[in-house]
Amino acid sequence: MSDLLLGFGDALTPVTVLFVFLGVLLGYVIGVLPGLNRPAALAIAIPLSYYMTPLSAVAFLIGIAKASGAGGATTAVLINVPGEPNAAVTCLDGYPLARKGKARQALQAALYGSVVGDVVGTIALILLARPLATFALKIGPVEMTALMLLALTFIAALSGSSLLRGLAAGLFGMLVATIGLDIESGTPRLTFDQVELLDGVPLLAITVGMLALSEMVIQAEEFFAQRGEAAAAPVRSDASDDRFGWRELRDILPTILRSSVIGTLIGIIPGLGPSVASFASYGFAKRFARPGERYGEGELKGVAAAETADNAVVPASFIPLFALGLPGSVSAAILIAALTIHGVIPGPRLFEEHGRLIYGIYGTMIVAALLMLVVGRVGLVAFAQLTRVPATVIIPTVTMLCVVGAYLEAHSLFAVWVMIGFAALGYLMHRFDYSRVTFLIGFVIGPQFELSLRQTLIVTDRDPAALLTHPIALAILAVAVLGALFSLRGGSRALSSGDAA
Amino acid sequence: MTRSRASFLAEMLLLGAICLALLFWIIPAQTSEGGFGLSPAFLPDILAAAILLLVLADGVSRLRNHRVEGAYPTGVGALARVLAVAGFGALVLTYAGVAASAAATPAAGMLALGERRPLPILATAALLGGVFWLVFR
Repeated sequence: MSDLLLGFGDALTPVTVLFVFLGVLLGYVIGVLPGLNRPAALAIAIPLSYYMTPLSAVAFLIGIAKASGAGGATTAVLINVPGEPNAAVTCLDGYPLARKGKARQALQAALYGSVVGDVVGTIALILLARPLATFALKIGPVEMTALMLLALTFIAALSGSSLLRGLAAGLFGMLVATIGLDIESGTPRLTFDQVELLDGVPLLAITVGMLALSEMVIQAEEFFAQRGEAAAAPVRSDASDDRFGWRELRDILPTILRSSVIGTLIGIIPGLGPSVASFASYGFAKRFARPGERYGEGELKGVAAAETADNAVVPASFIPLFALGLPGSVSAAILIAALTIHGVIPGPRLFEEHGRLIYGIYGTMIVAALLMLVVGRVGLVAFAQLTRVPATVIIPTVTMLCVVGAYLEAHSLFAVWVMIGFAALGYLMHRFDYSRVTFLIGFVIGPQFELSLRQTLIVTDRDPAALLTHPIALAILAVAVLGALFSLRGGSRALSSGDAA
Repeated sequence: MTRSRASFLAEMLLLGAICLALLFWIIPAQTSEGGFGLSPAFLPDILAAAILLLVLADGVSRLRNHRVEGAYPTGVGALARVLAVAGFGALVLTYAGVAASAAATPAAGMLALGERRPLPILATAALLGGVFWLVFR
């Protein structure tokens, strides 16, 4: 109880609130700028958090994670370009609304939906993470190994177009994580006689390279491809009925609440992420549409459904992170990097070892939701102006932030070159359809997986028959195998239908 | 434009060769016996072998299914430009420090993307360089 009060007290200190505010502000800006997505924003923001306390750092990053999702709706509504990939669904109804002169209504529906979705997801996190962590403390290394394999299989199956390539990417991430000192004997492993690699490949360099710099390469490609084409003109709100009042709120509230639950449930499952949540929630709303509701032609509920579910995913995806140490999304994986930099290792023991910090994080998440509402409401018009910042400024600026950010971790140029190398690798993975997200999650869970696997081999005396005494692990592995088979069958069915089309 | 079967085959063979190189050359050369417990090469070997199997299974499946996949629409020009700018930024960082890199990298990047107007380039470089100079001086 004292941890709870102290943690919430920490969250309400002016310094922490200031960092949440800065995070929310930066998150909105990044969300609005086309081409910069949530993972890239988080990756380039981690270096900025070096000089903060652990709570301030996490508060700052959480502010960015939450607000970038909400900010992504602005470009989707005004210029039909999703600031975030998951805001693509918002375009379906947001842009038609803007063309009807109801841009303000659409943006406010997106904002209120984002805030409610975020609060519902945060409440789920607060209620579920601790009991799950308590349960996780009772399970042994065999079950933990099985759980990590299940998570990786799910993420591989859901974050790309091919399970096999997804798994290959995840295992490659784990392979890269084995670089450094062997955890048992302490001897160097795959270090190529580089002293800098004895501590392993720098997580930040990989994160920034894979997510931020490689994303800039992709944005540069799009910039060159679209150069000369006329951009969609921003839509201005001039209709007299472009007001968002109680009537509109009452109208969309059931959709918002339903989408919050959908987003939260999807967020808990590793690998599904905000894009799936947005599409699922939109599809659900459309399926149960009332007569007269015209989804795809400017329906306010469509905007609310997509944005609410998108924002409910972020806090919900932290449940497996805080309870089990498993990142359910790439944002959660990046948060692991931030916590690790500050000496905090996510997992079931987190509540015992850093209870005050965790409750502080909960507090900052609630503060972030409230600030998101205030900043979003006040800055609605100002953020819309940011859609005009050209790619010729965004891409070079982010490139510079990647270089300087990688350097700042240990004031090492080695990390910068590693970052550039992984940016090239990340781009090639994107080009050949190998999931960068799965690679990164494999890299993050790699050390814990190796430890659990080694402990499992000791516990079972390397006898596969000993697994029979671990029914929970067997059940988890069975679910992983079934999930993989289902994914492979689904993939081939989709393929054949695609060929037929 | 679609990807040819030859490109699928080339991808599979290249990745397979890398995995084999890892298994039989790189991992043995870069790990020691460790002395006690499991060999340090234990997990890397398992992972490299598993990746090899996955790559082969994926490659064979793509070749057998005659899957039609679109070829990637662009060349590697953007990759070369952005990485060259990042490399330039790293070199400036080496010899002139953080603030200089914060000013020079965006300017180089804007030039690489085709921006030729001096005012936006100079303004961006001055703004970012100034901010980083204030923070890291």
